Amino acid sequence: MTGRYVTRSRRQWRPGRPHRRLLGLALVTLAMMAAVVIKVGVLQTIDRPGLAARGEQQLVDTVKLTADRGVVFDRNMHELAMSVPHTSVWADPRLVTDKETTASTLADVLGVDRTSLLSKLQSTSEFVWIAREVDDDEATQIKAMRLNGLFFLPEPKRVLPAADLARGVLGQTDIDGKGISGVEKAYNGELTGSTGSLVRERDGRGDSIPGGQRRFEPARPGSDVVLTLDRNLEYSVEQMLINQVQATKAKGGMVVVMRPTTGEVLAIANVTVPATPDGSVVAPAPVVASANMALVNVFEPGSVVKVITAAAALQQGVADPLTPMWVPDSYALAADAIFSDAEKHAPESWSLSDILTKSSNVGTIMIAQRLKAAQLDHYLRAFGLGRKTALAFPNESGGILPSVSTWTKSSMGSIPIGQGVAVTAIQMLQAFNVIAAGGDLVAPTLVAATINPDGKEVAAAPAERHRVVSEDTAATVNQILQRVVAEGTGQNAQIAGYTVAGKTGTARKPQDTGTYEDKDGKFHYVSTFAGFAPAERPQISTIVVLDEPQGSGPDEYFAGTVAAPLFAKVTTEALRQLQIPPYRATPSG
Amino acid sequence: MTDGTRAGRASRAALATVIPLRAPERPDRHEHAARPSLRVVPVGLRRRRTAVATILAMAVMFSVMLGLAAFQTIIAQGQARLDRLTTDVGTAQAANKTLRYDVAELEAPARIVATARERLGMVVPDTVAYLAPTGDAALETAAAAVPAAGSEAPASEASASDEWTKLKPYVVSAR
Repeated sequence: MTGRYVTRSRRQWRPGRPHRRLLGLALVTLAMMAAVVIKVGVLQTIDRPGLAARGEQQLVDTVKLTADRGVVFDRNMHELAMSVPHTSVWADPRLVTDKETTASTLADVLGVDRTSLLSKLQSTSEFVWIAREVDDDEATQIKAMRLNGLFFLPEPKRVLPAADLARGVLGQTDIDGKGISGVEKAYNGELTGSTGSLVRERDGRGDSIPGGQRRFEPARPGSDVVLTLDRNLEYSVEQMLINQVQATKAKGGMVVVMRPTTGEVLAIANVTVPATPDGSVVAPAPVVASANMALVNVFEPGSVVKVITAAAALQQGVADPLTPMWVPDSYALAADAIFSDAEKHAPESWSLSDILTKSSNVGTIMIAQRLKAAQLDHYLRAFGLGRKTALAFPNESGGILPSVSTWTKSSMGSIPIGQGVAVTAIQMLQAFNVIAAGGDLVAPTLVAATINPDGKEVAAAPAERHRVVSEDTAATVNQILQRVVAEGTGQNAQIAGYTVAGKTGTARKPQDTGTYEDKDGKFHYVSTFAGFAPAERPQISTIVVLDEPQGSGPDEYFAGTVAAPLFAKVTTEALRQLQIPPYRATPSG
Repeated sequence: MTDGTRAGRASRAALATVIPLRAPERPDRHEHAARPSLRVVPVGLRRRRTAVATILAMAVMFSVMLGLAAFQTIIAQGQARLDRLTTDVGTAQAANKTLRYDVAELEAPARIVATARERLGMVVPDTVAYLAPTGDAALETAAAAVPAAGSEAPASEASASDEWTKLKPYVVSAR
C-alpha cells in the first residue's frame, strides 16, 4: 500500500490515493498494448506479403539448377553433340558506376559493338544480358577486371566436337538449349531434362546459415540419344562428296548409306556450294550443309524409278525379264507427249533386262503401258514414294506424287521413267532397299537407342516392315540391277571383289520458266545412282545425288559418269569400315 | 455510482478525523542492548547441500551452454565444408564435361586425318587390296559362310563381323 509521511508538528504516515494514477497507468499500458497489437495486426495482415517477400529475398537464396541436355552419340558411342559449361555475363545497370568506360572495356574484350553495349548499360532495367556463353578466356578476363554491376552466370552451351560432321542431321539448339532443327528438334523431349532448384537460408556474406532451412531438388538430366550413324563413315562420305561436288562443279550433293535389311541409316552427307560473293569470280569451295537436304529437298529422280516400274510389271505378271520386244528410240503417247531415248538407235529387240541395262525410256514406257495407271500408282506408293518416311524428321518432305486422278495422257510416259514426280534421296533409297531386302519395305531408322539419366539403355523399336513385292520379283530385279552395273550404264559403280546392283538416273531439272529449259534454252540435270552390295546378300545400300554436275566433256553430267564412281567409292569405304567381306557362294550353290 | 463514490469519500474523511494517525514503532535502544551477542552459527548440512547443488547446476548449465556453443561451431564448420564441397563438386563436374569435350574433339576424324597427313605424312590409299582364301581355306570359309541369295539376310552388324572374324585368319595367313 502506498502512503506518505505528513510532517508538521509530528511526523505522521498517511495512506496515498493511487486510484487515479493506477487508472492512468492502466490506460497508458492498455493504449500501448493496443498500439502493439494493432501494429502486429497490420504487420501480420496488410504488410505481410510484402514483408515476407522482402525477408525471403534477403534471407532465402534460390539457385536454379539447369538440367544437362542429353548427349547425342553415334552408333559406337562417340559424342556427336554435347553440352559444356560456359559463362554468360549480365549487368545490373543501376550498379554500373562508369557506364562509358565499362562499355568500352567490354567491347574490346568481347569484340562487340560499343554503342549497343552502352545502350544496354544506360537502360533503367535491373537486368541486361551483356554476352551469353562466352569463351573461358574472355570470362576470366572480364572477371579479373572487377567491374561494378557485372555478374556471371554459368550456362551450358551446345557444341559439336566433330565440328561440321553430320551438321544437317544433328541440327541446332537455340541460345536457351531448345532444339530448333534436326535430331535436336526431333528428340528435344528426350534430350531435355527437368530443371532443379536449391533453396537455402543465407547470411549477410551469402554463406549458408548453419542449421537453416535447405531444400534441394536435383535437376534431372535429359536422356542421351544413340544414333545409327557411324561417325567415321559419315566423315569419309562427307569428304568424298565434297571432292566429287568440287570435281564435277556441281551445285551440291547428297549421299545416304543404309543397311537395307534393318533400315539403319549409317551416313547422311549433305554438301552445298555457298553463293559466290559479289565481285568474286571464283566459286566458294563446297561445304557440309546445315540442312538435312537428303530428307528435306526433293528432286525428279529420273531413271532410278524404272526399277519400280519394272518390279510392278514383274509382280503383276505383265512382263518377263527375258522375253524380247521391239523397242524404237521414240514413242508417242499423244501428239504433245513424245518420249525418246537418250541416244538414237534403230528398233531393237530388247527384253526387260535389256531395257533396264540400257536405261531405255521408250522400253520402260512400253512396259508401263501394260499396267493400269492405278496399278503403277499403287506400286510407286507401296515403294514409299509420295509420303514421308518413318523417320518423322523435322521439315522432312514427302515428295510429290500426283494423285492418279490428276494424271494426264503424258503421265503414263513421264512417271514410269521418273519425271513428273519428286522424291527425297532417302525415299529413293528406301525404294531400292525393297529389292535388297527381298521384297519388304523396311522403314529407315536413325535412332538406335536412348539412355535415360539412370544409365538404362532403351533400344529403339525395330524398323517397321511390310511386303511390297514377292521374293521372286525382288530377286529378279536384283539380277537385272547386277547386269546394269556389270555391262550397262552403271559400270563405273563396280567394286573390285564385290557384286554390285544398282541403277543410274539422269533427270532434267525443272526450271523457273515452268519447263525443263532455262531462259537460255539450256537443260540442267540431277544425276543419281542408287544400289547395293554385295548384291547376292545385300548389306550396304547407297544413293548418290549430284545437283547440276557440269564437267568439261559433253557426258559429264550423266549419272553413270559422275554419280556411279562416287557410289563405288562410298560403298567400298562402307564395306571396308564395317568389315563386310565379299560374297562367296557355297560349293553347293 | 456517483452517489456511492461520494458516500465512500465522506466515510473515509470521517474516519481520518476520528482515528489518529499512529507512527510506526521504532526499536527501543535499551531493549537492543539487552540481547545476547551475535555468534557464528555453523553452516548446516542443508545449506551446504543447497550450495553444492547450485554450483553443480551452474556447472551443468555452463557446460551445456559451452557444449551448445561448440556444437553450433561444429555445425557452422560442417555447413561451410558442405558449401565448399558442393562448389567443388560443381567445379569438378564442369571440368569433367569440358575434358570430355576435349577428348571428343581430339578423337574427331577431321583432326585425326589432318594430324596423320600433316604431322605423320600418311595418305589414304587409292585402293584396298583383298586377298581371297584359296584351297581348303576357301572351302572351309565358303561352307561356313553364306546362304543363297534371296534368303534372309543377317539382321545385325555383329553377324557380318563374326563372319569376317572367321575369314580373317585365312586372309592373313595367305599374305
